[in-house]
Amino acid sequence: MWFRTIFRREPASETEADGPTGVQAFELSGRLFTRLNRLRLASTRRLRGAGAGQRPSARRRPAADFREHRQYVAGDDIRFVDWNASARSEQVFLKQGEQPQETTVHLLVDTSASMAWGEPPKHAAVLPLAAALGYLALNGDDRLHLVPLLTEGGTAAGPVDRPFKGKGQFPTLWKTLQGLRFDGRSRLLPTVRRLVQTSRGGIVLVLSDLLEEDELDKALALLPRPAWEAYVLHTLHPAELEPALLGEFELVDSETGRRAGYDVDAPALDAYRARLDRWRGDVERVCIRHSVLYTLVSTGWSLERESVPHLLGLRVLEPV
Amino acid sequence: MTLTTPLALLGLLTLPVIALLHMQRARSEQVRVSSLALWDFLRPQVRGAQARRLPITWLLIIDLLIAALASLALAGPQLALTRTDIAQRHLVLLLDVSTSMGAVDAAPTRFAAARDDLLDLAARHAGIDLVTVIATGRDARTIADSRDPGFEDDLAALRDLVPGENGMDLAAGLALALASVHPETPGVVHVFTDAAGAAPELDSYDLALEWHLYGEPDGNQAVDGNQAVGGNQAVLALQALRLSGNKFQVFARFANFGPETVERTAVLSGDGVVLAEQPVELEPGTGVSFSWERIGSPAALEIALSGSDGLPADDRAYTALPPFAGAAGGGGLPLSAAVVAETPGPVLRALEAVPGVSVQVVPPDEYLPGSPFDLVVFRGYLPERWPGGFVLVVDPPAESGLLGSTVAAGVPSPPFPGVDPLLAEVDFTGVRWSRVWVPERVPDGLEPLLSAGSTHLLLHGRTGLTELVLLLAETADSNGTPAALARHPAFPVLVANIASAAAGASLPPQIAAGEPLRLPSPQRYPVIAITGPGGVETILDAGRPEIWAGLRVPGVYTIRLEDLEGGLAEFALGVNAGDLYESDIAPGNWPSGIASPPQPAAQIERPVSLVPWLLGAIALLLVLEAWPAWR
Repeated sequence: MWFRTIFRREPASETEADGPTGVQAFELSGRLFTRLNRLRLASTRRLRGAGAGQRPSARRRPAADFREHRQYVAGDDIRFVDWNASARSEQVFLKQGEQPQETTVHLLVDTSASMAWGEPPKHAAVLPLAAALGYLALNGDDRLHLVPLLTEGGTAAGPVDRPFKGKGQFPTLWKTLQGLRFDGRSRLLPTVRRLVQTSRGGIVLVLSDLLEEDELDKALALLPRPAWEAYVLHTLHPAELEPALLGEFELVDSETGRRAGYDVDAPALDAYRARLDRWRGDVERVCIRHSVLYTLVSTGWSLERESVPHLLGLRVLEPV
Repeated sequence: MTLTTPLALLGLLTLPVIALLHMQRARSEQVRVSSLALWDFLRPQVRGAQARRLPITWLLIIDLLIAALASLALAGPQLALTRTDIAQRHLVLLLDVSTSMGAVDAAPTRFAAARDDLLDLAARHAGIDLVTVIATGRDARTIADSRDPGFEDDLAALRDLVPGENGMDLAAGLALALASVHPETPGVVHVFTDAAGAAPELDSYDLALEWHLYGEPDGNQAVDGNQAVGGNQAVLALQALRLSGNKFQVFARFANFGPETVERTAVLSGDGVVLAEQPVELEPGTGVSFSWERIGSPAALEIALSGSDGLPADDRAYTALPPFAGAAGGGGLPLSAAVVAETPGPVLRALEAVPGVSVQVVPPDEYLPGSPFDLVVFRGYLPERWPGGFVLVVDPPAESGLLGSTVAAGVPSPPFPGVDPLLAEVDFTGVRWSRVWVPERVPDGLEPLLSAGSTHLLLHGRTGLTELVLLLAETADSNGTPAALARHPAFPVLVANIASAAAGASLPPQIAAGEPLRLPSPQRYPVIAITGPGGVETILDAGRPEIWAGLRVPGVYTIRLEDLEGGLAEFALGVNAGDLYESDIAPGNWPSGIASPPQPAAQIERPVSLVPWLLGAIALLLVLEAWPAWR
């Protein structure tokens, strides 16, 4: 009936898809990609890169982009000899400058069953966020490594070994993200252990609700600076932040299937919120101890209007 | 509150069932959460699955209310609204207006005392109860009803009401009272009467009755001059007969209903002039008759007993003197007759011989059903329907819509006449009966007056507004030649009696008080003016009813008739209160007090069913329960 919908807010119109071909996700609109094209993942100069890229490096190398001179040593590329400066002295000088480097962005995505909980489920917001971060990495000529957290059995929830490079790889990235299975329990520590064995450093973005996670301290300890720059994006559902429960319920754990009856009343809800804040504080303190940036990202946020500006404000992202 | 089906309250057993269902539903309600770790701190408050308490929710409350209300509705609860029923009690006040209520043994009269009590009772209950006042005399009529807007004026008009009707039809009054009370309203009938007459039979009467009786057992003490005498004496009859030679004869009968012998004087006067004085000695419980023969032609005669007694109204009697000699009835009206026939025959000559009768011959094709005649004679012809008034049929046609086909038959044996005024002084001895018409069917309401075996010769009775006399014996042949019956002396006497009866039906010389009077035809007399004893004149136009019941006060009434040509004729009519029953003013063995006490107001409770309200509440609760789901 007309009066049942008259006050209903019309959904935001999605603009035409001017993003990468094949991307039709709700959150990944053309307007978002237009905005993402002006952003990149923030990193320090000390971050070690493997090859040429667009990211500034702290290391000076023989380069056309002059910053300083050093004496020529055998084996240097004579293309970078500053002949004019060498003519005015008796020594041969080599022009030395910055050479943009690439870095590896490791996108650690929690694929536990709790990420499939909620209405809409948390992964409905986490996957577009991961795709947006991945797009920023690919757009910045970084090497992107999508790493689903390992399950308790030590297996991954999807293809993980193939790194992505270049913006043209984004549809494949998105397809890979959509192929992830959210089931069972996932563990951060074994995943990070495997990560440090295969990579020498880079940016680590952890997208997880951190539920049942009791080894966060050990995991972050394996990602020391300056080789690693880690960000923990704590993805929680609005129903986890403000549960709409009142009465007696039999609660079922989405990961373990464990059941328990609770009498939830208003004081209990207040205690729940206090406990949640305390838990988040504990997590944040662990992150700070390991120089890791921690932030909460609600899955109820709009990616374009809330999540991206939030990360920009925290300098997880920066303008190009 | 009462319950019509208390067993339906067993439905309340569904309440614990509903509570159990809700508990079971709450027990099986599971909610998935992302991780129980966030809720572990609540563990001390966890109740075991077997020990959960009843969840008090709006849904549970609504379900319990619906079940409880439905059970209550099935039980049929009724609420007694006492106050409402008190306001809706119906008092019917039955006032006796018969002549005997004019007795003076209650100050000032029985009627005045009863009327005052009635008005007092009506004033006390008006505004609280419904009040209906019914006057009961020869008939019963409603004279005031609190449901009518002019109730107060109608009650005030009771002050002008006077008793003066011979007879009290209590059954008609009680029937009218029963009809005026709504079946669901408790009704009480208060009867204000002197209980004169036979006790009524009230075994099967539905309404509660309360009796208000007036009058002393022996009536009032009568006074003649300074001498006190006992009981009531009355003039029971007064009749006058005009004789030839400007003479008239007066007959009067007196009766003593008292316990002692009384001596009173009867004074006969004509048009206010005393004609005779006659001492009358009346033994207790007896009557005596006198007759006088005087010269003159007074219009009205009056006879009065001197002194006074318990009921003064019946100490006088009045009558008119018939204007024509030999007219047995006739209150002075000339008789207008019509013979509708191709050949009038001997009936025309017989009618012309009757004094005061004017006859007109009307051919059948010129006859109009509404013609203003007092007597219409059909010979050899019958109309499509009977006209109103007096009708004589002689020599009916063989085929008629009114009588069907008739056949001629002989008379097997000599006729045996019945006893009827139409056959007074009629001697059929020596009549040679020729032919008799045997109709296919006898009209409803007619009785045989003269029969020979199974063959009827003369039928008389009323059918509708027609008083019909059917002479089935042949009076003349088709040429008008008289038959043997018409040549016999009995025939003109029979015709004269019929004419006299027709005249008597028009205007009598005297009637009893309250007796309805059949008025002359409005087609002949469009305007009638009736002047009562007090000089009050009543004008009745052509739209008047056929029967008029306004003659309630005893005395001489002057009736002035205005015919179609504007001619005036004035006649007198006596209205008399004396009556064998009304003059006996000693109360009968009637019930007194409360014959059938009304139920106390607290018990006269009209139950109001609460079921519709309960069903409405259930519907509202169902909407409330469905609202969240619909949204």
